[in-house]
Amino acid sequence: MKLSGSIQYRLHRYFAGNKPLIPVLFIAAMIGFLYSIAPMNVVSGYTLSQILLFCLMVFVALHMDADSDLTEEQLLFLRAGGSAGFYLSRELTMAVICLVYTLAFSLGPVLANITHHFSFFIRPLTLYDVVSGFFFMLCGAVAGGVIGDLLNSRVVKDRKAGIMVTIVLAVATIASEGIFQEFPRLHLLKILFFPVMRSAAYFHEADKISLLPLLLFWLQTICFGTLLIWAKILVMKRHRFE
Amino acid sequence: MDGIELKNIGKSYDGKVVFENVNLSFKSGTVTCFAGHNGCGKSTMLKVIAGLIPPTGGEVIRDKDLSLAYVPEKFSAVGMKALTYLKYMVKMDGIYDAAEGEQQIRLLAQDFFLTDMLEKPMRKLSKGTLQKIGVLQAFLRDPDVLLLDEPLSGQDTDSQQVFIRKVLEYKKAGRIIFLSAHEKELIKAVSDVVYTMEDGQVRSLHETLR
Repeated sequence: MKLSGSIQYRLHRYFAGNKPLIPVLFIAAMIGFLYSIAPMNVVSGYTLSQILLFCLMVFVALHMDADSDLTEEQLLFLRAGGSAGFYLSRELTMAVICLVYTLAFSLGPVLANITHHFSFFIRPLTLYDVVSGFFFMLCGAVAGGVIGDLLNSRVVKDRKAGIMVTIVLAVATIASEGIFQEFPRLHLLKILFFPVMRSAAYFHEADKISLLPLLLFWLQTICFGTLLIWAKILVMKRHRFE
Repeated sequence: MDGIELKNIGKSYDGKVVFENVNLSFKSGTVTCFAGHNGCGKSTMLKVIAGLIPPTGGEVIRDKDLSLAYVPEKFSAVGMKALTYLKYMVKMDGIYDAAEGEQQIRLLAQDFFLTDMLEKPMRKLSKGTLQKIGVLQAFLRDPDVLLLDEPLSGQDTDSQQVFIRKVLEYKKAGRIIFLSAHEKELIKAVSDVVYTMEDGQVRSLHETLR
């Protein structure tokens, strides 16, 4: 109850204000732009949406941090009755926000197909495409949320530096695939980045999002994400609310 | 008896010592007040006791896993109505029945003359009213330990009297209460032990007067 109450409170704080305005406008504009020219490869929309969701969630996480209040967080911490509940509620709130925006993005291809009398794509859009596309995009959203919150104000006190490094990390994640293609010797460093662009490059020309590679990309996202979140929480626990 | 012990606690910021080598113990059913001029480290002491900031040295020992409630010096308004905020807080405290939670909020709000303010957005409340909401969220918790950081700032005289009565009720119920305050009347009315903080040293008022 404590955990669910805390998550509900955090979600209320986020969604009841004007914070979702920019993301909603962004999603609407991007869906309109992406699904404007028919016929289109089914997977292409999802690959671009995944990258856009990554960028959007970096922004959302930065925006949430800018709006957070230290005193409010201190009160939530004491109510959580321990750091485990507090940090879990924080991360689960971000996960729910990722789910909501991914769901909104996944409406794009469905709506485009309906408005074009089910002939928007070069082949019929199936339920499998919608579901696998959702999980594919969620992968990018989760990566964006993790990167965006990694250097939050409790981890890096200097906000200018924190925001700048976050942006550099986000850009590096997007540019990493191109860099590794240019410099194959560096391919071992791939492990230091979320597979946002790697999965986009992998699926871009594909006819459908195959299950096995999708699972592998998810596994990598979960492992790397867990590692980064764990490191972030360690620093936050050390700093507490100083 | 459950209690809290500070063992060689020290705190420094950027090389400046706020306090050092503090060895104190606090038993249930007592109100301990930290007094001193602005910036002497009263709020820092309360936050160290609450575990909200780490001490530079030493440790805070608690007899058991005590529940804590804290009234911050400056309670921040969040983007929702006061009642909505308090309902969430009550829910997080484990009151599952929404109607029961709201009833508790309304009863306490009535005591603090806040009934008409509950439906207002917190950002539109005055400083004093907002501070009362901060007090309410802590009192609703019914905790083992109450940490009150200048809780009466901006509050009217009637509310101050209600506050004093409530603190004495909590003391009678065996809670450990910490208070940081300037108001001599408040300190005199509720405190069992008073510590003054100056030049990095924490002294009992008795010791200071000697």
